[in-house]
Amino acid sequence: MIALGFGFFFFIAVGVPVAFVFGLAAFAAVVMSDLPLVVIAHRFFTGLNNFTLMAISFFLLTGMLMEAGGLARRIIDFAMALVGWITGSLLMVAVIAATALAAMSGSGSADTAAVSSALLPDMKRRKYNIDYSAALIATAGTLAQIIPPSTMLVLIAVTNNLSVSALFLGGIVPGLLVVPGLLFMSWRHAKKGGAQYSAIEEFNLRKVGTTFVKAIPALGLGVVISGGIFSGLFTPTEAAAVAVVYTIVVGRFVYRELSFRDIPKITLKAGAISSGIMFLVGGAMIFNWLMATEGVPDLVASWFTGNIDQTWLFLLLMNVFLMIFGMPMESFAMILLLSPIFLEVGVSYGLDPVHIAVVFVFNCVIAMITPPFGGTLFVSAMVAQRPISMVTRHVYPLWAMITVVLLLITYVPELVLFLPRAAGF
Amino acid sequence: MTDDQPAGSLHKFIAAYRYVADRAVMLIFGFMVISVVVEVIGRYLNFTISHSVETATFAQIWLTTIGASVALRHGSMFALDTLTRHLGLALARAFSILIAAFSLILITVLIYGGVILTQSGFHQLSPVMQMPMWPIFISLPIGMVLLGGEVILQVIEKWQNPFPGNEEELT
Repeated sequence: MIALGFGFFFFIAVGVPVAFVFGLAAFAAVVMSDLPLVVIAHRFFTGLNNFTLMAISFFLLTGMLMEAGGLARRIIDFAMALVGWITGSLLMVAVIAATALAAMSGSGSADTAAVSSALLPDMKRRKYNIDYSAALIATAGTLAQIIPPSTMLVLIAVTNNLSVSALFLGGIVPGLLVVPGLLFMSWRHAKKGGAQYSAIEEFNLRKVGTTFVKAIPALGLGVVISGGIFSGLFTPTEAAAVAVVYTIVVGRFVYRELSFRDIPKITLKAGAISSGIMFLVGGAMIFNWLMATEGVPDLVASWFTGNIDQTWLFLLLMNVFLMIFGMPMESFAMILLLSPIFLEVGVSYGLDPVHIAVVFVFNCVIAMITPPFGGTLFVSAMVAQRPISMVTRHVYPLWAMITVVLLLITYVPELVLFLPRAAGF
Repeated sequence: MTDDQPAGSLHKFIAAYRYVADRAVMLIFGFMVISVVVEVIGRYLNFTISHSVETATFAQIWLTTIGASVALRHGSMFALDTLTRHLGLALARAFSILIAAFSLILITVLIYGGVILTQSGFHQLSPVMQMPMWPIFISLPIGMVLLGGEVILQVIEKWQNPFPGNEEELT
C-alpha cells in the first residue's frame, strides 16, 4: 500500500503522464508484493473490455462533429434571438447556448470551443471585457459534464457499477441550478460594465421563430440522446453511437457544412483523445484492483466512521478534499482514483451512491475551472488569445457561485435523487 | 549514396509508421460506431447481429492500444507540469529522459504481459463469438511497441524545448 501511494505521488510530481502513473505505481506495488507481472497486463485488458465505456468516445466525437457540422452555430443563433435583447446580451447567449449544447454533447472542452469560437470575436468587437467573457464561457462550458449526456457520469458509473441512466437523470437538476446563477452574474457584470453591454437587438418574435425552425434538426440531437436513453430505446452507448451518425447526417445533408473530407480528421482527433482517456482507464483499473485487494477503501471507510460521526461533516470533508485534489489533478483520473473510495465510505454513512456520484462529478466540474489546471479555462483563453492568468482573475466569483450550488446539492439530496427515483431507479 | 540518405529514410519510415497508426485509429473508431449502430438497427428491423457488441468492445481495445501512440503525439496525455515548466534547458532535457525511462518501464511490462496473454489466447475463446482471444490480446504488445517508439521520438523531437507550455485538458 505504501509503494502504491508513494509511487503514485512520486511519478505524478516528476511529470510522468497521468495515464502511465497509475500503471507505474501498480508496477511498484506488484514487484513489492511478489505478484506475477502479467497481472498488470491482465487488469489493463479487463478494464478496457467494457461496452459502456465506448459511450465516452462516441460522445466526444459527437461534440466535435456538432461544431464542424454547424449544429452548434444554429443553437447559438437561436439563443441569440431568444436572449439577445437583454443587457449583456452576448454573455446571456453564451450561457443559454452552452446549456443547450450541454444537453447534446458530453464534452466540456468541445462545448467551450464551440461557444468561444462563435461568440468571442463578436464580444471583442463590441469591447466586452474579454477576460471576463472567456471566464464565463469556460464556466458555462463545464455544464456539459453534469447535464446529460456526460462522459464523466459515464465513467463514474462504469467505475462503480452504477446505472448510467440513473446518474444522467441525477445530473439534470444540479446542472440547471447553475444556469440562473450564471445569467444573474452576467447581467450584474453587464450593468456595471458600460454602454458596450447594451442589448444587441430588439426582441423579435419572428426571428425567434425562424432561428428555432433552423435549429430544430440540431435540437433533435438532444431528443435522440435523452429520449432514446430514458425511453429505453437505446442503452447510453447505443445512444452515443446513434448521435454520431445523426450529427453526420444533419451536418452533411441538412446544414451542408460538414464535408466527408472533414470526418476522418475529426475522427482522428476524437480517437486520439479517446485513446488517452482509455489508457488512463486501463491503468487506473490495475491501480484500483490493487487498492481493493489491499483493502484501502475499507480502511478509509472505517477511519471515517470511527472518527467522524456526523454525515454532514463527512460530506463537507469530501468536498474540501476533492476541491483541493481537483486543483492539480485531471478530472478523469480523479474519478478513477478516488470515486471507489468515497462511494464506499458514503454508503457506509447510509448515503445513496447516486447522490455521492453526482456530487463527486460536480466537484470535477468545479475542477475544470479551478486554477492552475482548469481544462475549459485553457480552451476559452486559447480561443480568446488571452493569457490564462488574466482569464483566471475573473473566474473566482463564478467559481464561488458554482460552489454554492455544490453545497446545495450536497445537503439537499432530493435535488439529485428526485428524478432518478421518479423514474424508478 | 549521400550523407543525408539514412536520415531521410528514417524520416520516411517514421512518417509512414505514423500515417499507418493514424489511419488505423480512424478505421477502428469508424468500425466501432458502425457496429453499434448496425446492432441498434438490427434490433428494430428483426435481424440480430449477436456478436456486434463483442466486436465493438474488442475494437475499443485495439483503438486504445494503437491509439496510445497517436494520443501521445497529439498531446492528449495529460501530465502535471508544475515542476517541469520551471526547469532550465539542461534539467528539462534530463527530466524528459527520466520521464521517458519511467514510461518505457511500464510499456515493457505491458509488452511482456501482452505476449504472455497472447500465448494463452491461443487456447482461450471469446464468450459470444467463440473466437480465439489471441487476435485481441496481441493488440497490447503491438500497440505498446508503437507507443515505446513514440516516447523515444518525442524526447528527440522536443530536444530543443522539452516542455512546450500547458496542453489542453482532455475533457
